[in-house]
Amino acid sequence: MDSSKFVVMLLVEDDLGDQKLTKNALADQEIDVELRTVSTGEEGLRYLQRSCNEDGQNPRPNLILLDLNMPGMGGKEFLKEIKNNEQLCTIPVIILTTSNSEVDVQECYKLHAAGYIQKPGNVQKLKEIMSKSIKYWFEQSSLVKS
Amino acid sequence: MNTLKVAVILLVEDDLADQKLVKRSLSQAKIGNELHIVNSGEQALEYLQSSKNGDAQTPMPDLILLDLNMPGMGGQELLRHLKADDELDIIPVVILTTSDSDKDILESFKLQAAGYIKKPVTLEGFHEVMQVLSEYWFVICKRVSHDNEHKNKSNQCLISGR
Repeated sequence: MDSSKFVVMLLVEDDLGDQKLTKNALADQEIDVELRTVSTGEEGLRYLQRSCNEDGQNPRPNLILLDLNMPGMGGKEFLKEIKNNEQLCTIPVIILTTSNSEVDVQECYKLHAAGYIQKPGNVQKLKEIMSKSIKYWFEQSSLVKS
Repeated sequence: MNTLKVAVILLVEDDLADQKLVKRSLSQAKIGNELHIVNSGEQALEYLQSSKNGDAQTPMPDLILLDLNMPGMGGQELLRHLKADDELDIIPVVILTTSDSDKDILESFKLQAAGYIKKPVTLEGFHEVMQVLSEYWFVICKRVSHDNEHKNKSNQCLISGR
C-alpha cells in the first residue's frame, strides 16, 4: 500500500461516546485517515453541499460512516438523499449502528448502503473492523477520484 | 459475525482462466463460501430468475462478483438491470475487471456497485483480494438473510448454465 495515501471519511453520528470510539479506532491505522465528524443527518448534508463547492475547507469524503438512529433526519433518510444526488451518489456509505434488525439490514442495502456493520462494544473490535474495511475500500477497491 | 453461515457468491465472468483464479482463491479464503459461476450477463439473469423462483440449485447470492467486459450483455448493463429489480437490488455487486479507466469506475459507482476491484495479475494477488473481500462482506458486514440458510456446505464450486 502507498503509505503516503490519505483518505477522508465523514462520520455521521450523534453519540459523543461513539464518535470518540470511532476516532480512536481510526487513529493508528496503516492509512492516514482524516476523519470529519458531524452529529446529525442535516449537518451531514450541509457538509457535503459545502464539499461540492470545492472550498478546500470541507474535503469531499472518500467514504461515509453512517449511524441509523439519530434525532431529526435519521440515517436512512440521509442515505436516500445522498443516493438521489447526482454528485454525491458515488460515495460509498457504510452503516455503523447498534441495530441488529433484519428490516434495517434489508432497507439499508435497498438504499444502496455499501456495507452494514453492527457497532461492537469495545475499541479493539472496532479497530479490527476499521482495519478490514480500510483494506477492502482503500487497498483493494478503486474509488471515484475526488 | 456471520462466519457460520455459508456465503453464496455468484461470479459473472466469461474468461475461463479468471473463473479458475477466483475459484482457487475463494477456496483458500478462510471463510466458508459456495461459488456459482455463469459465463455471461444473460446467464446471470437466468440464474437469478431461477433463484427468485426458489430453485435450490441456484440459491440467491449474498454477493455478486461481476466482470465488465463480456460479449453480449456487458457488466454495466447487467448491474443496471439488477439495481432496477425490486428483489435483486439488495445484493451487493462488486466489479472485478481488468479496466482501470476512471470512466468505468465512475459509471460503476453511479450504478451503485459495492466496490470496484481491478483484477490482480498474480495468483497471490487474487488470494489477497478474495481474502480481504470475504472478510469485509462475510465477517464484518451483516448480510440480508435469504432462504438459503438450510444449506450447510462450504467451499463448493458449481458451474451453471454450461
